[in-house]
Amino acid sequence: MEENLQKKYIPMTETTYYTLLSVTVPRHGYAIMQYVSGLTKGRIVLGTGTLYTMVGRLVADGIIVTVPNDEGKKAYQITDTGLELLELETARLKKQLADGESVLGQEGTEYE
Amino acid sequence: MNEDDMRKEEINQRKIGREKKRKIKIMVSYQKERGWLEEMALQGWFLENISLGIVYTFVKGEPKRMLYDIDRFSLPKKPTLEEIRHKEMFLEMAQELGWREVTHGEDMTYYFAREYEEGGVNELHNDPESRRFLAAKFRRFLSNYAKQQVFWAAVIVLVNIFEKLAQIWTREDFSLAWFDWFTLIYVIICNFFAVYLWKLGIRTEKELSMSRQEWEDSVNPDNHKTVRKLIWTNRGLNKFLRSQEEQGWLLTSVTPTKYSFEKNPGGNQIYTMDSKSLTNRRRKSANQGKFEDGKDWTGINNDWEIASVHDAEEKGWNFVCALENRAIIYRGEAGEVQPLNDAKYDNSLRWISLIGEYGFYLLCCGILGGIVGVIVSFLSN
Repeated sequence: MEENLQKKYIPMTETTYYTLLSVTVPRHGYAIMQYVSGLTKGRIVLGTGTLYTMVGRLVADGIIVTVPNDEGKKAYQITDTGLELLELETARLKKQLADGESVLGQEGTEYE
Repeated sequence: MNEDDMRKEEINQRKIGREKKRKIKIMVSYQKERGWLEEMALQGWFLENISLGIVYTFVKGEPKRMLYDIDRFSLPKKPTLEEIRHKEMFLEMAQELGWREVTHGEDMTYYFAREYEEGGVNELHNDPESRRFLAAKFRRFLSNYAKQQVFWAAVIVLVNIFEKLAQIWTREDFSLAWFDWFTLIYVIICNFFAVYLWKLGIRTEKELSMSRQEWEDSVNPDNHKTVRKLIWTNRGLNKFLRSQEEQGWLLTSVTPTKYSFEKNPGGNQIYTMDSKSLTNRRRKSANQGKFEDGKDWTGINNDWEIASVHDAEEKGWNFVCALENRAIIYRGEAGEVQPLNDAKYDNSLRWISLIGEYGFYLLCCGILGGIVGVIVSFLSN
């Protein structure tokens, strides 16, 4: 993968992360929105402009591609590059979480 | 329902979709504009077209709570196939998610509309990241527009210079006085317009980076106000700010003539202003070196602010705001803070720190130039 893509997308914003999760199977715009709000139980609701701005960037960078849909609508699906990014980000988040837990879990830790 | 009412109702029904209304309104703020459009929709007037950015055409309909929003999808001069597909995708997706494209202005700003939905996402851009993208797009557009104005001013000046050169070259006097006037006025107008557009760009960027709620809070007159006032001395500043505080207004920022306040129940606080020259005086009396910078012709070096904040905090003052790199205003609990500067400076003119040393030099040069001009014209007579 190109290094500048990694630089651009890692660490990833929450909305980007969830959008990428939602297009692991082909989904069109409205379905992405529904899936993300369902997965996060309404915590993240993507606005229309938010969604197309993000999808536009992801398509331009080759992280997702458009695929034809039965209903004639455009659907989006993640590419191999995108999957790789998603895995890298997940690994990074795991490490971050472990670090956070190890510090916060210790009793009498002084935060500075 | 009596007969009269029924007839009125019938006439009203017939008007729907047919009757149109044109309004001319200059809207500088996009946030304000959409608030106005939504108000019109509540009265049953729906936006149909905007031309020249000021002529709004509305069409009659059933009053409804609508949402309006804007975006830009400009393509570069030589768009690639991908970029064209993107624009298609944006517009398609907006439609799919319920935003109807109403119209676009001559500047290719697209207006979208949707019916209000209780509990739905009632904004086109609803996260800070994409809002920043949107704001940056508008900023870029307005800044480019401002740069174009400067470019055209330069072109007309060049044409004028060529005209003068042609006169020298041909040794003929075909002096065009009207053209000189035209050049002068054109350049002045272009420059004013450029500055205006540049500032508008900054303002629009700030405004569009905010969510609707944030923007409404920021313009709510119950929470914010600005006062235009020229204050000359430290004592005057303290008096003015204390009287504002008694009315519940706390200072947030200043420019040389504009004071911005935020609604906040204040305590019994006093104010003071510090500047580079006062900081230097303090340092001198403490036998420390002055802040001087031979390279700093225009007074933009703000190293003194570090020392000033340090001194002030030692004496119990809290930082409020800085005026560019010329002055800092501090606030402190009355009776608990020690005076930052000697009281003898309280009535000294602080306006030099307001207009800046550079401004002061310009003023001096202007006065000097004026005097020289008068003397020369007197002697030549």
